Parts: sequence; structure tokens; C-alpha cells
Amino acid sequence: MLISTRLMHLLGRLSLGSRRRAPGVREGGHRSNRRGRSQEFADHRPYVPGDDLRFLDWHLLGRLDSLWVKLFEEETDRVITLFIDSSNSMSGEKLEYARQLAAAIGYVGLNSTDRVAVAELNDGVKRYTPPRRGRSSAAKVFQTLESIHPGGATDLGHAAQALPRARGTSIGLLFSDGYDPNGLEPALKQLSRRVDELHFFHLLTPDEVEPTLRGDLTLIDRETAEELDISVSPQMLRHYREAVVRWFSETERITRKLGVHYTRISTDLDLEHLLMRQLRRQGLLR
Amino acid sequence: MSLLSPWGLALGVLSVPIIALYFLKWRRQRHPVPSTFLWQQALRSEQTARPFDRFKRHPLLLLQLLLLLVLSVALARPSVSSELRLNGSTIVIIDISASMMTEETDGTRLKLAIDEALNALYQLDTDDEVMIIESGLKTRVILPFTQDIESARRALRGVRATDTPGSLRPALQLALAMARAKSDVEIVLYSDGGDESLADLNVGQAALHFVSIGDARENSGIVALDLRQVPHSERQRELLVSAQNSGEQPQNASLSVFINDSLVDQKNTLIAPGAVSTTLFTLGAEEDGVIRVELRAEVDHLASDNTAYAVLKAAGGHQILLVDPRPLTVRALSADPRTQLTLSTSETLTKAQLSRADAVLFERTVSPLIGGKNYGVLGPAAGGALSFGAAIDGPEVLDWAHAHAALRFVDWSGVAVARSYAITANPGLKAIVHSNRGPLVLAGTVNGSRVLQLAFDPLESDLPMRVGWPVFLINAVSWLTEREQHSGHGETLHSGAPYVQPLPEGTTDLTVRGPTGRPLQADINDGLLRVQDTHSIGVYTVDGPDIHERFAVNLLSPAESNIRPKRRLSFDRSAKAEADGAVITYKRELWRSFGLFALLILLIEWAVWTQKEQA
Repeated sequence: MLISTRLMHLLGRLSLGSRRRAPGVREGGHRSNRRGRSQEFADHRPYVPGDDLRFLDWHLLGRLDSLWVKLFEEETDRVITLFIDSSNSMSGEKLEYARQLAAAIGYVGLNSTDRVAVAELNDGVKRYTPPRRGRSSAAKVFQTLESIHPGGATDLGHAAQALPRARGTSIGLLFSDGYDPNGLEPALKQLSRRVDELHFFHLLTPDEVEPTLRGDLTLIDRETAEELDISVSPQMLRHYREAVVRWFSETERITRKLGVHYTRISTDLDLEHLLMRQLRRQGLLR
Repeated sequence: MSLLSPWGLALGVLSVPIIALYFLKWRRQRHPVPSTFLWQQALRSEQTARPFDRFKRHPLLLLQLLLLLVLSVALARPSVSSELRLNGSTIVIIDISASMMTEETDGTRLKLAIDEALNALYQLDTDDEVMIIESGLKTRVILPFTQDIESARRALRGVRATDTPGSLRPALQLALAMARAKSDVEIVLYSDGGDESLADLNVGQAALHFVSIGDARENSGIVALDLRQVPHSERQRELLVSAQNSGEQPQNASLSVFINDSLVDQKNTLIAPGAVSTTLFTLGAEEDGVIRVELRAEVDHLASDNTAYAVLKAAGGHQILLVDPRPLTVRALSADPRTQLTLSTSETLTKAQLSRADAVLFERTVSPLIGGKNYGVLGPAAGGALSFGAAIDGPEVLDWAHAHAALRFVDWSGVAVARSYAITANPGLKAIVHSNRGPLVLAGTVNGSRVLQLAFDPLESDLPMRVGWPVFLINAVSWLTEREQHSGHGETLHSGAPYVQPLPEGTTDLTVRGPTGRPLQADINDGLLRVQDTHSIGVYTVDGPDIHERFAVNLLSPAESNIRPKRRLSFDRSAKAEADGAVITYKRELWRSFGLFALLILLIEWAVWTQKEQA
């Protein structure tokens, strides 16, 4: 199981927050600039402070003695697209972490009437699952995520060009290690055009940030199969760490420039802590 | 620091394959990574920063290269000049050859050498030991290893130089053998270096130190002396004297000849540097005596090569009694002015005649009155020492004793002998002329008398027709009367050479005295006198009841007359030591230290390798 029942229970009370006033095609459960509303009742959700009291369901209050807000069809017009980098460099714990994190966030979206789509990317769009809605679609989404296997090289920019533009308000979440030989900027730029709000979850293993390699080695790139003869010494490690810092700085600069929300995650970070604390602190989940 | 064997550095070429092998790919482990993107950036940074940093990243390689360097240097035998510090066991070799009597500013070289050695002994502690060896013509251990330093000092002070040439090799070989038997032995040689090459002397790893003694370089000396009779003149001698200038400046030298301390001749000569000048003197031969030749040069530092001696013997006459003479014999002997002939017959021979004669020649029978007189028999006569048997027709001369005094300058080849006689009894005469059928001439001593016997009648041969006939008779007479006819002088030896003299039979008591009159040890054995102690130049005398001889001892050594001191001695192509006055510096080899350092590097490399493996 991608996420535990306990985590699902914790996530059930959350919804995805949007930091940007995004003009949606239809009115959704989040703030919208558009007036008017659909009269088609869609669902309830628990009241959170800030909700319009006009949509409070008094009947449920009387019955259940708890506050619930009515949701109408236009309030569920947001699409959450989970962009999963499934290139060879993601194989192992990074892809596993990406699956779990994507599943958790996707569940939050499904639980709050967002539609959730899954796009498996490497050097192209390997697979695209159209948006699904509702908690009942969670199993399908999880199944889609579990069926993602690593393979191929990385060209997220090229892959993004093949993606359809989501109808309505869309939030894109990219789960990748960022090893794009063409650079991250083209990829993020392309993805930004496809969604209203883009979040980049930069996934790296601890060994990629602080290598434990030593001695004379021939490194083999998992994606390109290129070989690199290297002698790992303290001096070499120092240069590597400096390269990592430069890379992080450059990534932050690019994401800032493009208005992409950037979260760097080490795969040894506890998922529950990430979801319930860090992402809630950031406002992505609330 | 210097390198005694620079070729050892050639080991350093092994660094090339070591580095090449170290960076070969097959040594690397293969490791898959998600991406080499960041590693490439790190590698570029490192290569840009310090191109030789890759070597720093390989401590094992650096240690191996350092080990190779240390081993190469060790093989090259590094050495540093150090001041000599004597301790432990020390062997002191003192050169006592003639050149060590060279006069320097502060005394003779031997004195300087002894002073140096005495100073060095002060470095020794009470538990150190020292051995003293004299190096001259012969090597002598004058003091074996002892911790009694005072005894060593006394032994050194008792060292005396000789007038003999020397050789350092035996002393060095002895000392090196001692050094191999013990550990930590220092060998110190005090010498002016000698004249021989020691390049092939294997000193191994012995601590051998050479202290060069002396500075003087100018010297002239007598290096050759020859006294000979003037051909065809019994009354004149020729004396050849060769003088060598071993200095760097030409020398005006005078040669003075004294006979019995009276100056008889003097000549001046100019000797070029490094050259030998030969001067000829003509001397009379009327008297016995001692010839002394004195060389005086403008600059001269060694005295023992300025004087040479020879013993002169007068060419005096002898009384020969000819019994039953034949005209050809009388005619032949009459040609010798030294021979005074008395003629007699077997019938009229008297004892008085025999007693007046120095020797007797018999042509027919040997008289029983001969007694103990030396005699010759010119034919197979009866009554002599030999008995003869059957006649032998046509014997051919095969060989003869060329060196025998009776046969000098006589050519027996081709002498035709019609008939000789076989010898049936021989009391011990030796054949000195041989034929294919037996001896023809015999000589020797019988009952203390010299006897010369022919086994053929000269008239049955063509010998009397030959030029050698009178020469043979004169030689025979001279031998019978024990006269040196053709040299006219006594024996001359090089200093240090033993004197050997045949003695009259029965001689057991005699006295040998050196140039100073000091009695010397004389060994008498098998009828020979041997005198070993001829280390001083001058005239020696041998006096006994039946013998009165003199012989001269001279240095006559171009090597010793060349007093230029050597500053370095080369052994096995690697000079170990040189000296500068009283400060002894020598090359201390450091290969052992480098070897230990190499071992330490090996240990460090092992530790680093172990650490890497565990990491």
C-alpha cells in the first residue's frame, strides 16, 4: 500500500491550498475571482475558518452537531496533476518516495473534490491518466502510481510539450530529482505553461547530497551509461559538495524566476512529517 | 652529501611503470550512480584548481614513489663528510717505508704520522681497543688489540722507519681481514700514499680512513747503480749511476764517487723534472774497497736515496801449479796476467810446490800428495776423485751449466769430442757439461776441496782449437781459486732483500755486522748463510774463520724516491677518505639510514593501505 490507513485518515482532514489567485473556468471550493455559482450540489466538506457561512449546511449541523460546508459542482473544477519523473535516475528510493508523496497529495485532492491526474514523464510522456474525481477514485490513482517503473532518460521539457493544458484551474506537482541534461529551466518553463500553479518537489537521496563513496572508482551514469573515472578523496568530496550547493542555488533561482514553488526533499525525511508539518507550514496542505 | 655509486639512482626509472600501473583502469571499482552530473562538475573543479592534486589524492602512490626514491638513493651510496671520531676498535697502520723519512717542515713524515696517531688515540675511551700495524717491505703487527692505550702510545713511539721500499697492500689486507672478523672496526692508515695502485683492493663496507702525511714534493735520488769490469781490461771498472728527479723543478745535481772514503771522481748533471739522468764513471781496479756514491741536489727532502754503495774487489793474481803440463795448456793459461804458473811433473812434484799453489792442474795422473788442495784434472786421469771405465766414442754435447763460473763465456755447442770415458765411481761431483752418452766435465767439492774433472782428453777433441779453450781454463782456475774474475765487485742488494751466501764446508761460526757495526742475526743452514735484516743502506760484513765477505745494500727505488704524497686513495673505484692536515674528514656512508627510512615508509604504506581497506 502506497500510504498507510493511518496517514490516509490524517490526510482526510486536509485540502490543497493555493497560494495564487488563479482564474478558474468554474467556481471552485477555493477563492475565485469569478462571481456566480453553479446550483448543482456536489458534496460536503468540513468547515474550515474562512469559509463563506452562507454555504454552511445547517441541517447537518443540527443533525451531526458539527459544521459542514456545501460544495457545488463549480467548486470542484480544480485539477491536480501529478507529474512523476520516471527516468532511470529516479530508480530506487526516490521513485518510491515520489509515488508515496504523490499518492498522499493526490488523496488530499480527491478527498476535497479536486480532480487528480497522473502524468508519467521521462524523455517524453510515458503515460497520462486523465483527471479523476472523488475518494472512490483514490484506488485507481494509487494503482496508476504503483505501476510507474523507472526507465529511459530525462527530458522533462520535451515531455511537458506533449502534455495537454488542463481545463480550469490546475495545480501541477512535479516529483523529480532534477537531473535533466537540458537543464531544469526549460522543463519548469514548459510545465508552468500547462498549469496555473506549479510545485517542484526536488527529491534526492542522502547519498546524493553527502556521498559516502571512497577510493578509485568508475562511476556509471544510470541514464546515459556514461563512465567517469574518479578518485574520491576529501578534496574531491569538497568539490562535490560545492557543486551540490551551486546546483541548489541555481535551482532556487530558476524556480523563483518562474514562480515555481520549490521544495527540496531528502528521501530519508519522514513522509508524515513532511505532509503534516512542512507542507502545511508552507500552505500547500491545510 | 655525495653519492659514491650514482648508478644506483637508475632504480628511479621504476617510478614510471609504478605511476602508469597506478592509474590504469583495471584497478578501479565500477559503481552505478543516478547521474554523473554533479561528479563531472566536481572533477572539473578539482582539475582546474590544482593539476597535481591527483597525486595528493593517492597517498599510497606517493608513498611508493617515496620508497622508490629512498631505495634509489640508498643504492647510490650517499655519504657525507664527517670528522673522524675514533671509538670502539681501531686499527692504526703506520707506513715505515723509506719515503716516510722525507724531511718536512716539522720533522720526518714518520714523526708526523706518529704524532697524528698519538693525537687520535686521545679520542679513545677506556673500553675502546687499538691495534698497531707497521707497513713496510713486510707487514708486522707490533701491538695486537689492546685496551691499554698507554701501551699503544709506547708502541707508536717505538716505530722506526726503514730504508726499504714498502707496500701498503699487505697491511691493508690484514687490517681488512681483522675488520671482517670483528664489528665496528675503524682502520686508520697514516702514510704518504705509496706508489702502488690499490684500486682492486676490496674494502667492502669497512670504515677505512686514510690520513695523508707530508707536503714536500721535490726530491732527487739514486735509483740505479751498476759496477762492471771494462771489457778486455782487467784494471778498470765502470760505474753507472742513475739519478731520478721526481720533483716538479729541474735540479742541478752533483754525483761524487768515493773509494774507501777518498773522493775519486765527481760529475755534475742537470736532471729535468720527472727524468732520470745516467752518469758513467771509470774506476781503477787495483784495490779492494767500498765505493760510495753521493748525490747532492739543490732541493732534496729524502736522504736515504742520496747515497749508494758497492763493494770493490781487486783483480789480484793466483798461483797455479801445472803438473805434467801440455803446451796448449801452458799457452792458454799464460794469456791470463793474473795467473802465475809453476810447472812440475808427477815425478818431481813436492809438497812445498803444492803448498805454494792456490790450485793445481793435473794433465795426466793426480798426485796422492794433493791433500786438501783445490785441483783440476784435464782428462780422465787416474788417481783423481773419479774412476773411469769404458771409452765412449763420439759423444755429442747436449747442454752445459751456463751459469757455472767455470763455463762462463764458453760456448760448448758444436764441440767435437772423439772419445770420452764412462764414469764408474763419482764421489759427488756434478756434471756441468753433458753429452748424449754421459758427462764430459764435472765439478764440485770432494773432502772440502774444489775439484774440476774432464771425462775426456782435450786432445781428443777440437776444444783446444776453439776460442773458448783459454777462457775455460782461466775460468776453471778462477773457480778453483774462488776468485770472481769477470765482475770484480761484491754482491749488491736492494734494501730489505735477504743476503744468501754459500759457506765453506764446516762453517758454523761467523759474525754479520750491519753498516753501523751492529751485529745482525745470521741463519746458517745447509751450507748457506742467510741474513734477513738488510733494512739499512750501507756495507755489511761477514766474518768467519774461512770467510770474509762484504756486501752492499742500497735503496735504489724510483717509487720511494718519488715523495709526492697522495691525498686520496681509491679503492674499488670509490674513494673513501681524504685528509687535510690534522683534521681527518672521511665520507660517512648513509645507505643504512636510507634503508631504515625505506622500511619505515613500508610500514606507513601498510598502515595507510589497511586503513583504506577498512574504510
